[in-house]
Amino acid sequence: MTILPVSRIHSASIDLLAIRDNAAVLVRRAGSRIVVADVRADAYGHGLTAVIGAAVDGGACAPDIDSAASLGPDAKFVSAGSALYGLLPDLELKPAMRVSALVVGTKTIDAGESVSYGYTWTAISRTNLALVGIGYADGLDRIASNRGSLRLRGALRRIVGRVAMNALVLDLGQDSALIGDEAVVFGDPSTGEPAVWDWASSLGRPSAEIVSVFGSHLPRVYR
Amino acid sequence: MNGPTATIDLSAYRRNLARLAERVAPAALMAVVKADAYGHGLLPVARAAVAAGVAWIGTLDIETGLELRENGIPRDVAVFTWLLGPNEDYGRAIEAELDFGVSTLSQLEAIARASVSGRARVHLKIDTGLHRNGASIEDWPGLVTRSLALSDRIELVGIWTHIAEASDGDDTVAIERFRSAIAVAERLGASVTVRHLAASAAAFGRADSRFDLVRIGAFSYGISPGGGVSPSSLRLEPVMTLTAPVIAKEEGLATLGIGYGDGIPSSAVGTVQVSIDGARFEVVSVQLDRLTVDTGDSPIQLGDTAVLFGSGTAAEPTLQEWADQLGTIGEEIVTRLSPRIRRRFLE
Ligand SMILES: Cc1ncc(COP(=O)(O)O)c(C=O)c1O
Repeated sequence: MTILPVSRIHSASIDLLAIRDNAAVLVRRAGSRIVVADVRADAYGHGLTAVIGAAVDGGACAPDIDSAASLGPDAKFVSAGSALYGLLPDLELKPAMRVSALVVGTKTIDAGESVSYGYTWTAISRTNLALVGIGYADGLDRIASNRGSLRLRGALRRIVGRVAMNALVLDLGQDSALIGDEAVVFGDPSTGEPAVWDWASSLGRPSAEIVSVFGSHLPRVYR
Repeated sequence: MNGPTATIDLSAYRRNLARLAERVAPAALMAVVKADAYGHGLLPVARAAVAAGVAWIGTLDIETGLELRENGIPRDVAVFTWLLGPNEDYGRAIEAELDFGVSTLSQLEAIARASVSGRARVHLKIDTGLHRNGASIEDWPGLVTRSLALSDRIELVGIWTHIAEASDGDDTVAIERFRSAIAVAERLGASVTVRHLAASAAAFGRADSRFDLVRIGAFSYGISPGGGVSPSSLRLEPVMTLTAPVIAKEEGLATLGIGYGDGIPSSAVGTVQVSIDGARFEVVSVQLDRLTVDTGDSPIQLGDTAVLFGSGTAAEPTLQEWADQLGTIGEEIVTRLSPRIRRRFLE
């Protein structure tokens, strides 16, 4: 498991207990059928080895052809993918991935000043901005430009201007932020954080795609 | 059966660099290799740039800069970093002789504190309108003055900015602001040798944007800005070819072993094509680890290799076509590809 250097500007943190507990819920719901963890695409970007360990702890089976076959021809299997990772709005399931990044710069601009490539957004009044160290190369889709929001200092803040390869800008209005503050793309909705399915649907993409792409690019931290 | 593969033509990359270097001369060229060299593979690309005589490499972050030094990028090649977080370990970075693009006093002070043996190489950044990083015009004199006062620990190497490429007029305004910031710094006693503003498009198009150094990412990989401008119209060659095997075949459909879990956007459905044996087919579904194309009654075989995008010389789609059809830019498509996709390097 990775211990991140303190300098880390962005990460995907993975809650292995959530995966274990989700597996247990799915095993219970499956009754006599056997739950097999769907770990394609590096476990949907959550990390193959860690996920298998957690899913097996929760009573699911690893997707190992030999052992599945040894369960006999009568065994009925049910594959657990999106549900295992908590990608569905289901009160018994918990999202396993949380994506966040730090504020790396702050700035106040005047009405009429614009932000980021192509100047696609212009302030209509004096406003505070936060530069956040995450961009499309990390998996934060460029179509979120002037559309998506991140949670920062207790509120959703709109992305203004184009999302760049490694950074984006949030409009804070009259509020302010400090360098080092954490902006959350999605996390645990039970604590008020945005849900991955809301982020995904605002961009018209499957949640599984969102977590797979973030997980394969961001440094992962396991909880 | 081979999995999905990104084939990286390093000779095309070197030719692009040579053409760009010639075009921007006498300005020097920095090869930008952030985001795993725009998804092309950091170390082989950085080594190719150095072998081609490039004296500046831009990595974005310190960690990538250190990785280059640890893997033998020599000290006479300057390695420029500019995404500086609140908790950086500058000591190691200074030891590795990295260059820092500094926007704030607190970054400057942190670098000075860590600079105990020798002087840290600093480039001060002025915000000329992009409003991301960079000191405001009000903060600029203070930042310059402080770095001069710290001259026992800070070597003021450069002054730089990054522009919006919104329009020629907007870029002209940014260039004017940059010139004023340089003049202010000189009046305060700075004598910088490396002034840099331009990335690919401005460096290519405008002599007045080039100053002493240009920072080139996209164009070196043969990624053009779109909107009708193709790489070949700039005499640049695409460097990456993305392929995937046909893993299933039935009733007019072929399934390829690559999906959105590998970084193919799910929005590829109904928008882009792939080519198999020189013929083009529409993408009809994208799933986690597979993608289906409508092959009609073409004689596609299991194990055939599909080209998702490439140089276009064999009638396959290009990255530019994908970007235009997906409503994005080539950079997003290549940087989004999973690191698990094999990179195969052609010398
Ligand atoms: C500061 C800076 N300089 C240069 C570049 C390279 O830009 P391009 O890929 O357009 O050449 C980038 C990347 O966006 C950048 O952030």
